[in-house]
Amino acid sequence: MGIESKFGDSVITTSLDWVLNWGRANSLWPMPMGISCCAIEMMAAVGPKFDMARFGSEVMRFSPRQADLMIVAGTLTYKMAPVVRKIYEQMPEPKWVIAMGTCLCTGGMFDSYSVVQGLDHIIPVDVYIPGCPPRPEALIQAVMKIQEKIKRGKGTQPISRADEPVKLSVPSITTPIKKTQKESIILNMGPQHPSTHGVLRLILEIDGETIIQCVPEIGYLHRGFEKIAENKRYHQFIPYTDRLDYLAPLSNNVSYTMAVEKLLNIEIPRRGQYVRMIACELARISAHLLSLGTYALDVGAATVFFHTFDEREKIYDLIEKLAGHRFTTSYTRVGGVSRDVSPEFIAGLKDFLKDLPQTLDEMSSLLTNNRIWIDRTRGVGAISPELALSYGITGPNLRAAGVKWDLRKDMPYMLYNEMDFRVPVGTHGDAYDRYLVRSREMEESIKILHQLIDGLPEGPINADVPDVVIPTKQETYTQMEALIWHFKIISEGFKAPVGQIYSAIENPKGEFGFFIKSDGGNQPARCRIHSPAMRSVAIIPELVRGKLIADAVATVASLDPVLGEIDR
Amino acid sequence: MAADEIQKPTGININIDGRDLQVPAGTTIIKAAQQVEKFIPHFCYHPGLTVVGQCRMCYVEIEGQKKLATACSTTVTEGMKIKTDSEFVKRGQNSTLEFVLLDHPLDCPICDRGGECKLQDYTYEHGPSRSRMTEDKELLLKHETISNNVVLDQERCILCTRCTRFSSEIDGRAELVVNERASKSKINVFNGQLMESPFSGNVVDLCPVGALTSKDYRFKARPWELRHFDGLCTGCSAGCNVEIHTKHRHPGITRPDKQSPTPEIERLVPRENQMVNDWWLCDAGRWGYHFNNEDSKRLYSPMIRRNQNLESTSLKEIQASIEAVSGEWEFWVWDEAPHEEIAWAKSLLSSWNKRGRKVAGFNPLNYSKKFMEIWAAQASQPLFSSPVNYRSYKKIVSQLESYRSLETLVPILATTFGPRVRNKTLLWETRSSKDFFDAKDDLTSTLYLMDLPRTEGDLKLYKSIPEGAHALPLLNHLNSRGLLNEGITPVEILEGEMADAHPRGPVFVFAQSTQRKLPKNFVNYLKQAPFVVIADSQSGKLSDLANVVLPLELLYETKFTATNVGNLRQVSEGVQIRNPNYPAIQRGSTTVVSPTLQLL
Repeated sequence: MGIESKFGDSVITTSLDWVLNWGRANSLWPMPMGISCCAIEMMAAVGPKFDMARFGSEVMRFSPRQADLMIVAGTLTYKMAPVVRKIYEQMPEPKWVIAMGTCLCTGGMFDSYSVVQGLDHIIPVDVYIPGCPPRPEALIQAVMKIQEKIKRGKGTQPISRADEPVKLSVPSITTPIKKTQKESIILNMGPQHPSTHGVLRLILEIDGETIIQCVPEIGYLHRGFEKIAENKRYHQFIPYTDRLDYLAPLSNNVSYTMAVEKLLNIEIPRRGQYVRMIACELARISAHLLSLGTYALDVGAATVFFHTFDEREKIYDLIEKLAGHRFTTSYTRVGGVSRDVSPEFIAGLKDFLKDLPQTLDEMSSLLTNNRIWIDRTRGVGAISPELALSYGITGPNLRAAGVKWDLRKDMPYMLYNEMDFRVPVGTHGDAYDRYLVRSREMEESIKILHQLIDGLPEGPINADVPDVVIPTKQETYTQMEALIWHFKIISEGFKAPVGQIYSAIENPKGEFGFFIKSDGGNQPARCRIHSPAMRSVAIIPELVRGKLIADAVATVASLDPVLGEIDR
Repeated sequence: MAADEIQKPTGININIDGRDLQVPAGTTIIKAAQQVEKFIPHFCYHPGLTVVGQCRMCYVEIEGQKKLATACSTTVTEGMKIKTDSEFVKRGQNSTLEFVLLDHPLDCPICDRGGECKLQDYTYEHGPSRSRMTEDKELLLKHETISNNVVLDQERCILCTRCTRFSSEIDGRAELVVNERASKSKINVFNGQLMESPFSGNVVDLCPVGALTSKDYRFKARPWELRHFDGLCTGCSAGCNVEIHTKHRHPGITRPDKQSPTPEIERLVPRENQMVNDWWLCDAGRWGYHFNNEDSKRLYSPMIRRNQNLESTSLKEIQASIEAVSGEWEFWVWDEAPHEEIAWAKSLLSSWNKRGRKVAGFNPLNYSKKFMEIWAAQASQPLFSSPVNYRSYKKIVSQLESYRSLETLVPILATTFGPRVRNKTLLWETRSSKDFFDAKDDLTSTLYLMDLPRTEGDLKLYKSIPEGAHALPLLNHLNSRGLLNEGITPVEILEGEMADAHPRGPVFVFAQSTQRKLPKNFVNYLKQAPFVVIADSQSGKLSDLANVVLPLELLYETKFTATNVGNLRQVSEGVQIRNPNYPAIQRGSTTVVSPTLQLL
């Protein structure tokens, strides 16, 4: 049997290529380059359900110098391009790149002035994953493709990608602030930083650990939503709303369609309203879970993250039953929703509501009385009620500051005035209170959901406005009239009366509203989006001045900004 | 009687939807409503066709009448009060549409007309949103070829009979007919014979639904993907007004062959112009646009011939090579060259003259001079001054009662006419110039469409046409008339002479790629030239002969001006259909001349 027979059991022979390839393929170290929506699915792939650790690549760390696989996830803007390029260049050879999501394949649905039409314009790409966003399974498949590619290669030969052609030369990164003190240094936190929850860039001037000044730089995810809205018919814009606050797509859908309905003066039947409220509350729980999970992760408690992501997966399964998609739902339609709730969904929701309080308890027992957690968050980033109001802060951040303001109670929309729930309010306005408020809000949401399930009325889900509401598939396939109306509503769109409206709802992050101006056409003449997280970012410099860098991390995490909505 | 006529009011007072207006006697309601910008939906009514009141879509309510009236066939009377959008009318429209849709197939997703279908538009605006019909639909002929270019789908047909009326009234051939009666009625070709009409494309435009579609456009685009440009048909000198529809594909996505997608012309549709083509367009013009889309043929850089091959080069090198050529230059301007190009050519000629080069002028054959002299002399005579003018010419034609529509067909190539169309008083004939001059007919009682004299022999006879004769010259190419106005004889006229002529020296040709065939004699003529410069937009026989090639934009790509046979100067909008990678010399918008001129 050749030479092996003489070596005994503990020795094998093979080619050096094979060993190197085997080692590389099975210990991929991903460098997560999460830019927008896709990054959430990338996080889900790391979470307990999909468990990317199976590939020896559980070490997802934001450290390019050790990584060999770059997973770019999200919409690449021209402003972000030099950052991605720089981090890519910092990675040692050999290295591989996965372009996750349609935006990185072709520019996707964002055919706008600010978006690079494909990642391969700036760096060479090995695997493209289509999908908006791709499911975690797709990412896992992409990693397996990379492994196959590595195993096919010549491991012993040096691999250099320097000469692979790219189409776009990217400009250098600028720093638009000046030092105020001699001893201080300028430190960039972001736009690619685990603690900035997206591509927020905090330019810090620090003296030792102390922050002298902080300038938040936004726009790294500016996709031109408002301009796109002006060039899309009313229905066409619904999928875009998914990608605004991509932690609560259902809630965004509802907010947008409610605005259009207000413009058209359409009333939704009770069942439709109930279904929408179920969607909104599910979105709230999902968003708060993610918020608290990443908040704890940033402050150093990684366990919570896995607990919350497990629960979020259950919500995604529910949402898939409800809307047909787990992430980008596009569930609502002008005049109603795309499909009715099924009995399976209701049953699944009941089960979920049974389990969720237990998880919340576990989370609470991990954090609420945890000494380290309290030390890191109590008194940190405290917002006074006056300051909060002067910055226009809304949502949990405002309520944590002691201002009892919730649109569901104070300017009731849909049927929230029939619901029995409390509005939790904080006392100190600090990071700890914000944690508590979000936890309590989830409990209130559970209460609301129970009421919604019990009181779910029978009847139609869509308004009886045939020139706006899309006919059902059944009708479209069998009736000539319905087919024509479907064709016209989809291809030409309905026309809205001349006028302008503002309509807002209480999103997980606060007051999320649309201002729509119509000139009588089938597209908005102007669409402005009121983003609650924008205000939360604006207040950051006030909160971190004179504090430590670690406090800045806790502050930003507790404010829970989401850049898709801020940059728009 | 005379007194009565004086007392007769000039207009009739009516009221439409609460607005008073005065319209001439005999006006139909549908036309009167246009005055107050009230659109009354209709399928069968068309201003260019007879009124049949068949579709029952144009219902209006007239005060004092119990039943709804059709707006297309009811003429106004004094004091008539009309409502176009009362509940009664809406109910009528709704019911009409429901009735029309009873047997309509669920074809919208695969129908070419989807998106620009009147049936869709009206159903969405005035019709029912859901169906009460549970019975099966009638099954009829689908995608039946009825001519080389037109496809019929009987199921989609709503029996407005616009196409049959066009076929009998405008075209005169009556090839399309309604077979059977009442609920069994269906449109088909007569006796199963394919349509031969050279105007068959118009029935596709006329069809308000997707029953008649053109093979050329089928499944190529959706209406909302198309951009519309107002242009001129480049096929002949009629100068028919057309809308050019182009499809611009997403530029960001490169095709598998690594080429980025080029915008293309998808179709031409006629644009109404009562002075030129009314609402119609001939098939030759309608489907003759394809050469514009042949991207592989495009000339995209200046080229020079070295060792039998054309090679890309710089304009500077071309300038040097032209400088080196000695001899008397000839300038040739193509009959399709628009006025912008003629201006360019003229300025080039004068600059060369100033630089002391020997230049023989435009289209410089001996015959050319003689013809232009006569043309100028004839211009003052009634023969050419009046009938060539399109409007007065129309007047003559309008006497042809039974074939009044022929007025629109006249400018189109002679071969498209039938052999002879007879009327009580006038004889309408098409003849070659030779036959025309040989005939001893009474020129004052016969209207002739005749070719222009092509030989010196013709010219003598041409001069002998008596005053008051009804003879119209046929000009076959886009800007032939414009060239004559500019004092240049069209190549078309010189063809006869060219068979025996030789160029005096190097030749500079301002050519223009169109659907026309290259004249053989001209190609032979060029072959004898020592040096040939071609300015053109596509490669072909001409560029094969060239020593130097200058790339031009296609006609449709620039805004151009051309004069039609009726001496009407018209402008065509520029369309962006070039592959962005191909730079071409722009002809400029009006008289602005390309920068390359300076080099030359």
